[in-house]
Amino acid sequence: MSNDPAGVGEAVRRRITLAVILVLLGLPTLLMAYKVTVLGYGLRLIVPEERYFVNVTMSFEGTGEGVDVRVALPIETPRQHVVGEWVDSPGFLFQVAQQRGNRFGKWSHPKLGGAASVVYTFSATARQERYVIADELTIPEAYPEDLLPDLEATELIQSTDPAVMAKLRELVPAGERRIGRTLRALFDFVKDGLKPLPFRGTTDALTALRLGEASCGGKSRLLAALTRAAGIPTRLVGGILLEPGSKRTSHLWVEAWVFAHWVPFDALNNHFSELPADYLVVYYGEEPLFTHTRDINFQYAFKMKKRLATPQDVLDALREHPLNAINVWQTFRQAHISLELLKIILMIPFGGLIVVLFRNFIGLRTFGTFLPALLAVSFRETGILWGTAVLLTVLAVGIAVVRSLRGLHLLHTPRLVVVLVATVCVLLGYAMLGVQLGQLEAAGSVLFPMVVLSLTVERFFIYVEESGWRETLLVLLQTMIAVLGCYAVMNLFVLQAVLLAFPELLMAVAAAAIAVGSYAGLRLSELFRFAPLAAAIAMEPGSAVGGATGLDTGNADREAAP
Amino acid sequence: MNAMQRLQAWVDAARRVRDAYRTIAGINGRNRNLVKPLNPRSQYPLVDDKLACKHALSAAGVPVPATLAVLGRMADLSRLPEVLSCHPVAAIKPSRGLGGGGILLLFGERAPGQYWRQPESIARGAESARQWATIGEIRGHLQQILAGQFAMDRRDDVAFLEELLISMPEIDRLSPGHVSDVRILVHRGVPVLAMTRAPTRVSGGRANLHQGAIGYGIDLADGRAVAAIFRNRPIGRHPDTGLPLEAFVVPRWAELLDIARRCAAAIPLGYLGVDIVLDRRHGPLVLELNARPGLAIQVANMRGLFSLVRPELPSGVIAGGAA
Repeated sequence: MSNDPAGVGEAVRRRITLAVILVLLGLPTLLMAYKVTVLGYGLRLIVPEERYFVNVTMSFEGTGEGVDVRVALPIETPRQHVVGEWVDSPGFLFQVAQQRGNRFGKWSHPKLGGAASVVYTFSATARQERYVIADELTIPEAYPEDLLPDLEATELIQSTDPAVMAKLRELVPAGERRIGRTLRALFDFVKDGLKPLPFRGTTDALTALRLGEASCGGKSRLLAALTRAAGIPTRLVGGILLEPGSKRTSHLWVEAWVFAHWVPFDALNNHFSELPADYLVVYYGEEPLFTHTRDINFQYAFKMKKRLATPQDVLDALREHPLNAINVWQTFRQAHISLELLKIILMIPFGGLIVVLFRNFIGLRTFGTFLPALLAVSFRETGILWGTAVLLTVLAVGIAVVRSLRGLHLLHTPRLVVVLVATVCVLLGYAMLGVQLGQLEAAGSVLFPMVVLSLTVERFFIYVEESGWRETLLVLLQTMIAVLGCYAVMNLFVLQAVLLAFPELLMAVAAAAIAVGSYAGLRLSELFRFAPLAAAIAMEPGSAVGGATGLDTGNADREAAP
Repeated sequence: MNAMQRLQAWVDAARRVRDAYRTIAGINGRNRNLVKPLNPRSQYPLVDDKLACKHALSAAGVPVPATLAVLGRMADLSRLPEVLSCHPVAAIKPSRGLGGGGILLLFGERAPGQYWRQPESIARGAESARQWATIGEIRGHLQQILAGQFAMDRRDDVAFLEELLISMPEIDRLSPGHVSDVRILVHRGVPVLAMTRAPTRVSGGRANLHQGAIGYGIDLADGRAVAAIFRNRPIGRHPDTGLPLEAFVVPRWAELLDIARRCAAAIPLGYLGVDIVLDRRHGPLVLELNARPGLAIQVANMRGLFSLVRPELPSGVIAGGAA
């Protein structure tokens, strides 16, 4: 045998392993230090900003008459920035109009017969915003003229109604002029005194007060009525909550004029003088988000994606340096490959490392070595629920196909192609179903690794045949655990951001894999598997053979019987 | 003080359990400390390919079951009716099969062109009435074998017909009608652990422990069964019948040990599982060799492998495992 363990081999091998690991850890450390000190990598670069891509799809049916659809478009504010906008509406005239700080997009068609849809997409970034209202600030006696409309009673914000005035006197002691105290009292009443209600229609302030329950709109109008009654200019803010996924709801909150600032308040979600980063302001005032010609069966849906992006100015500033990760990014950009794809490529080794940990330390059994990492990548597009549904459907349909083909005794590879066709059909089916249901995440299923999935179907089938359903489902469950583990790690924002700025950290992944690869101890699952054995050995150290046996020695070996 | 003593007792017990665990080979330990350093990759084809293995073994004077026919190409299948009429009792096997997959047992002619076979979908443990297969079905199965359906690497494979073995009465009573075998683990040419594997209803006639066969730990000194396990747990009663398990001695034990040593000498693998069947007519025959034998043999014998053999490599950068 060439590998004699005796002699110098052991110590040398161990030292070499350690040295390799140290080099793989040291190199990226040096590179990172160089980038931070010489190239001036700052936090702004390392942590790319989160950019949302919001897709607004409006569909409707014309009856041969003219059709107009008007939508409020997101505005620029100090805390939010609209990076880009795209309109897809063939056959429609599209115009943008500015109106008292708001922007409206208007689509017109002179004679629309049949169904049509227009799509408006924008990408935006937003920051969290927080104000501290000094306790000594008081409600001013007079305001500039342009603020007066925001103090007046309106049809839906009945700030002069006796019931509203009575509620104000009840909540705020007479003589209280401090603005912070007043706002807090009114806010707390609207937040806690009214039950939240998932209602999509319009509720005016008075109705909300009488019912004692309201959605975001009712709560906002009541809060606005109360604050206006208290002499604080207040305006409604229409917007959307940015979160990846699909939805059909927009949001409404208010801004009150405090010491020359418009300060945000959301009584439904308990944000007092602050606005989280996932709030996007679209427009101010009482007009609805959508207005359209009557009776056109108007429907709308939002689809949002969150993507990482580095601010352009930072990119420009760093481009000149050689030995720069940004250059890699630039190369990708020239090839029209997104930062997202680069991120996935960089994260896949991490997924592999997670799989290794699951397999070699914990002892999970999975279908396919790196299948969990690949599935985790696909799950990014579909989300966990849809992703799991797609995976299980592919397996079920695949098994059914393989079963039904069994009688034909096909050769292996051609049969695999049939399974591949079935897999693709399932993925396309989910994509279409997703579009139908407005669950556009499901459409992401087309990004599943089809060939790998087909091979998994094959392996799954053989496993069922050889080990039965119980065992197979057990392994499937463990595979899912590994997928979720990979998904959780690969979607860690901090990890992604750091890896994008310092791709050399992949060397550290290699170092970790080398360390794990030289682990020869038991896996967690084996601690359980061998528990009876370990207990037996521990109880009778030395001689286990010939010890307590469960066998009936009977006549064969009578003297050994106790 | 009493509390201190109790604590000490607990610490001692925990330490004993830890030391016990350290003697047990897990998958990581087996692969890194035994299989990798002792079994050169280049020798794998010799054990993974049953036909090649049989050739090498018989050349070294190790008894193996007779090969009745080899069907290596699709064209050979036209000879099938002729082959089957000569050998209506046979085991049809893929040469590079994995875990007993793709084996078809024929028990004799039922009618012209029809042959008794072992129950289908044995994974489900169905002990249905005897089933039979037509020549067309057998040909279909052979086509699957040749196309690599059961091969470990899914590449084109070779099928062969082998003499159907029948266990000696002393062994047959462990699992009547099924073939039990004896697995001897050989480390650097020396047998270190042995067990007898008896199929059960759950295992569907297969002698693989992970499929639910019973493993009897065998005392290397005299071939006596010392303990039994089923699904990784020690048992005293048969899982099928509920009757107490009887002790037994593997017949011709010295001969079996000798065969195991000769296998290790013939095939240059330092860590080897030798599977031997005690056939009623021919005595001990080596059914196959395994370059990555499983770990349950430790449980069957209540011995950790690393209390018997030295790991080939020191524990790695991450501490743990057999020291």
